[in-house]
Amino acid sequence: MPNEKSLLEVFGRIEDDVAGVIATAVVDLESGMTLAAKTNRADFDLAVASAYNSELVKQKLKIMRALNLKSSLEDMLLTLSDQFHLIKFLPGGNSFLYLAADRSGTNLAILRISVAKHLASLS
Amino acid sequence: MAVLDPRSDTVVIRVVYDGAPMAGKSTSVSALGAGLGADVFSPTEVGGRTLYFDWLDYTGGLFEGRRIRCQIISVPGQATLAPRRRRLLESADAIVFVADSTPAGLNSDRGYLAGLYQVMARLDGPPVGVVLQANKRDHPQAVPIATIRSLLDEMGWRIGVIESVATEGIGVRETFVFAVRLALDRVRELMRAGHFPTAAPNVDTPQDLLNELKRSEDGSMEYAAASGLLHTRLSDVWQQPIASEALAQVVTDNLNPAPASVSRQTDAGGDYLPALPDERVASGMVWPPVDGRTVLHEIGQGKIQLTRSPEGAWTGFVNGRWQIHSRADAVYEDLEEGRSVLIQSARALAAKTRGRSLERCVVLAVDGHGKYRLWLIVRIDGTQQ
Repeated sequence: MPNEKSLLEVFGRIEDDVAGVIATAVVDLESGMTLAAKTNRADFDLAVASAYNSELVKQKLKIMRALNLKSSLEDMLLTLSDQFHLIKFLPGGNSFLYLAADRSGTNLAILRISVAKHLASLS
Repeated sequence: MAVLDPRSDTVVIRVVYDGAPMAGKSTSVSALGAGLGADVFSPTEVGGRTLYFDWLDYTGGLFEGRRIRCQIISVPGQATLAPRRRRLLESADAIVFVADSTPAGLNSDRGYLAGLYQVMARLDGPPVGVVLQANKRDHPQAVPIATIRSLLDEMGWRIGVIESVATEGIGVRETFVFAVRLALDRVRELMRAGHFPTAAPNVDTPQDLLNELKRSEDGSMEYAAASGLLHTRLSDVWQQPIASEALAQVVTDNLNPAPASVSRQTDAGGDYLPALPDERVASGMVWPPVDGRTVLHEIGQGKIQLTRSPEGAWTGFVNGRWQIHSRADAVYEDLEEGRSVLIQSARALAAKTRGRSLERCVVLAVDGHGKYRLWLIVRIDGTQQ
């Protein structure tokens, strides 16, 4: 697992690529605790968002098991009326990156490409 | 002290930072607080030294659908305050031992680790997980991690080791999250045994803790703190009668550390290579729950060479210290089926190892191919490979 400092550097590089990033965190799937977190909006409670998104991911994995799907979960995209939320697993599958971005500032393609590119640099 | 607080529907756990004076306990808690955006409260400090504790309150994460509230506390390191330190350690659900990686610091670490070990040995209930945060890794004379592991081996203590540079915040958060996992493993065990209380925590604020400590002390600690601040490390007070209680905790060993390699590698030369388990497996997937995760932490950092037998079983050795084995048929498509076998294996193992120190664990982990594989991990000596 990369350390907090290197994860924060990755967050910075993603923000260089993507306009409108609200908050980014790497979250321990099991506990929902953040391993690194950065928010650009004081009213966005990243600890709460990370915790409940870990539950969301666990539920999705349960659904996949219930459906007997043999594929692996790579990422999850949630589209809100004014925000994109992207969840992408880190190698090993026990932690994930969670990113919230202002929908008016970016698009999903740029977001996914940038996150994939910079997360790859961690491995 | 873990409780389910009905007022806020949160699981309250306590993570205690222990270690020798100047090892970096307060620095680690401060760095953690800065990263988490939470303030650290220190009731009394003299010359930058903690006299009671540092307190950091953080709510984050989820356990069984409930928020996790962490009371993060560092102990005073001064030898003269050993009873205060012991009292705080006894209240922990997980402990981060901050070790000073410098050669001089390691001498102090040894005594404090021995003291911690003795405190842990006296505790009832599910084991309290301990992780060693090897601090000051940026120091030019920092001892190799293998030396620290050897020290732990000599004590017969199986705990995870994570490197850090607390002054730069490196490794601090990672250590904390690992400690939280250990604490949650303990909570799960308490729940299973029906010993997880639903109640408001006895200590809810730093002031509560301060009051509790003061109530339990008759003023002697105030005197000790005032008179003993010059004697900050156990070795400084070795001949001082004032630290008799601290000295009683100390076991002195002459350790001869040996180097070991620490890089991870898997290669079996076949088309199917199962993913290896590490300390991030979900709660309930490793037995014993707390100590097993600690073993997995070490396995996850080591170099593993897996080989497949003609029958299809997988075996590997980790740094000459552990053997990891999975039978050919120990693979399950269904998680519940795998867990049922895990429980059976754990029962058999518990019967076999009754009353003895942990030298093995079983774990169910994803195999990287959409299934679950059961692994048995056994401690070996270096000659058994």
